[in-house]
Amino acid sequence: MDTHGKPGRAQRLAYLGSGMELFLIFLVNTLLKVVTLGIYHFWAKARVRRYLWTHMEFDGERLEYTGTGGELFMGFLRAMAIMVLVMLALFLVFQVSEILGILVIMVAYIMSPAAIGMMLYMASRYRLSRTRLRGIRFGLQGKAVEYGFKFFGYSLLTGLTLGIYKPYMSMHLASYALNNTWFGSQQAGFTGQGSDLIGRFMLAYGATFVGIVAGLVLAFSGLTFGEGIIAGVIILLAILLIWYWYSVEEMRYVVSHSSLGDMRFALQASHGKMFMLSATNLLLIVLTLGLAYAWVTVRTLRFMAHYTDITGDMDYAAIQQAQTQADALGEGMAELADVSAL
Amino acid sequence: MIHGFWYDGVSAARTEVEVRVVGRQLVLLEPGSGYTVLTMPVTGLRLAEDVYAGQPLRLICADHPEARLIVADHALLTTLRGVHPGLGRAWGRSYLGNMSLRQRFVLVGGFVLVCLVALVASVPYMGEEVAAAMPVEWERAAGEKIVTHISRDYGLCAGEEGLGALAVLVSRLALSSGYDPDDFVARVLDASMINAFAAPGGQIMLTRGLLADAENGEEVAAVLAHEMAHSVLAHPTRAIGRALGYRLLFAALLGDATAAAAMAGQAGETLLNRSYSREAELEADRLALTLLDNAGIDSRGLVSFFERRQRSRLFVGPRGSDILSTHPSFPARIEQASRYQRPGSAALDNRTWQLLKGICDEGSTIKSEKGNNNE
Repeated sequence: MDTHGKPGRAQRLAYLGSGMELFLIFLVNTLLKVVTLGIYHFWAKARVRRYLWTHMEFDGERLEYTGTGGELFMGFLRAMAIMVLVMLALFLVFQVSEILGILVIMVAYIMSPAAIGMMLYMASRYRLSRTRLRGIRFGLQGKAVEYGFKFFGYSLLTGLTLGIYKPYMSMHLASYALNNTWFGSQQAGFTGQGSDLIGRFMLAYGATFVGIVAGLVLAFSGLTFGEGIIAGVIILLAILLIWYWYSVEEMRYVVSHSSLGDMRFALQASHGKMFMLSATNLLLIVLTLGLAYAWVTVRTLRFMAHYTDITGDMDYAAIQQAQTQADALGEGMAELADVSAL
Repeated sequence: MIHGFWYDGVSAARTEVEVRVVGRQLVLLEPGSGYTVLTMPVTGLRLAEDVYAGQPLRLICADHPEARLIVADHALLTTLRGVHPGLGRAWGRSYLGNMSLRQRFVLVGGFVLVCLVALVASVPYMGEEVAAAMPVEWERAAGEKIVTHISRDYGLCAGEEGLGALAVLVSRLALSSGYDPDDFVARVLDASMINAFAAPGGQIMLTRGLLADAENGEEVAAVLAHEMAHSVLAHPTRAIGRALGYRLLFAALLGDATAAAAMAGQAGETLLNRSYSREAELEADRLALTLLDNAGIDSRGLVSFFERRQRSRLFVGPRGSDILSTHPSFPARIEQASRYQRPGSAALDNRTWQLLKGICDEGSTIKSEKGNNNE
């Protein structure tokens, strides 16, 4: 009980959950899912989120998740209904002309990143509108379709530039999403730019290129099979490591260029600490065949909360309830398309 | 005196309050002055979320659905429940603060474990019973699907006279024991492995390899009778029901609903690589010997076939698709069959035996796409 209302400027964000408790929730959820032939899935999801949210404490107050399993289930059913209608329409198109049908499928396939982006945006809009702090709802403004088309356009550019556009894409998308994020009447902000990251990105990119060339040279230089395998593994590990380094750089960059009102954020964990977290998480998951997932989730959240430094104050009295509740259709579609997280 | 925070749901400002229960009302007071900030009926309160040990209560009042009352002292809940016993029990939110995590771990973990073990033990059995209770037409349809699936990979032998000889043999075995010959459909798969199996609905498959390996018609008749016995005893249907039960269970455990869709197609492989229990095999052997005896066919073919296969296995080694390697209970089966076997007449005359052996000869094979019935 003394965890509540704790002062202390140093630790404004704290994660108070327990891996064991979350594991128990997973256990009961698994049983209920089996008994209900999987339908409990949606209620299980809501229950896990309620637990995860309410154990994140900020300025002495915990987050609240107000979404329900029923909502998620309805969202899923509506997404199913839409899918059935689309399939029916496609069937009719095929009845009219086979070539037209194939054309429609090809266009749909090419445009699928737009749909994925749209679903992700709608799903996070739902999640944010079901998240409250101090009774005030969060919200995500902006248009999911717009985000979807940005996602599509930037993906296309990234493909055409052989991946080099990727950091610009990530920053454009983060900018759209974060600048549209609200806590009540308080808008969040993001000032990150791809040009700040491109140098570090090209370093990883170049190293990958060098690694592949080196691998090819070694492959034709008459190494024995065993030596070849060892050299290959070393090169692969080096490439993975440099991309890991870049992903941490990008994450830190995003955090430190985000704001909420007068508040600024910074991720203070060093590369070594981040690497130790990821490596031990991976090891835990592998060694326990996934059973440690609950502990991994909780320790990751605790780590992130611990190392997130927050400066500047919130004028809570000035923040009004301003965001409306979004529906769960996007989350249902994301679930159907298998692109949902958490 | 209970201390709490009130968030009015209009702004994010927090108001410190003292909380008191007066009759059926919850009263929020300004600390120090004792000025009443708000009163609300206790019966309109509910918990916003499950409450774990060490976590403050978050209460929602029906009159102010956007507002939140946060109280760290769990004693308030006991007081409130004195007035409103349903509090925290409705809406699926529970109070978990009164039991230590370790206690709950043992309790919940134990309960879930027991339930899972019970499910793992019972679901496949239930699948078996459900499958066995299926209408005959469904069983037949399921069998046809499986046969189509398997014959797509290998093709079926279409020697007309050979198939005729096989059908005559099936009729003879069925009729003499009082079964309807139309309940069985025997076919030959154009595959070199030595195997035979029964799919649901009396769909029996022998392989070209088996016919080539057999030394006489009695051996083929014995294998045929054995598979017919499996059909009569509904072993294939039950095996598929059991396998589907297992798959369904694990799909549900892993939370993967799409896996259920891919199940039907795999039923065929289950049969092809089937392994019935030792008891089921012995039971089918006994019935097969009875079928052969009733038909007056020399039932010594079973033992001679088994013995040759066992000898050859010693040289070839176990192979996945070999009829023997999926029958680990061979010595017991040979022993039982030796006890029950009777001499009798030949299963086929020499001419029909040759016709049957030549059922897969050049040009008579069809790659079945739609599961053509060759009869």
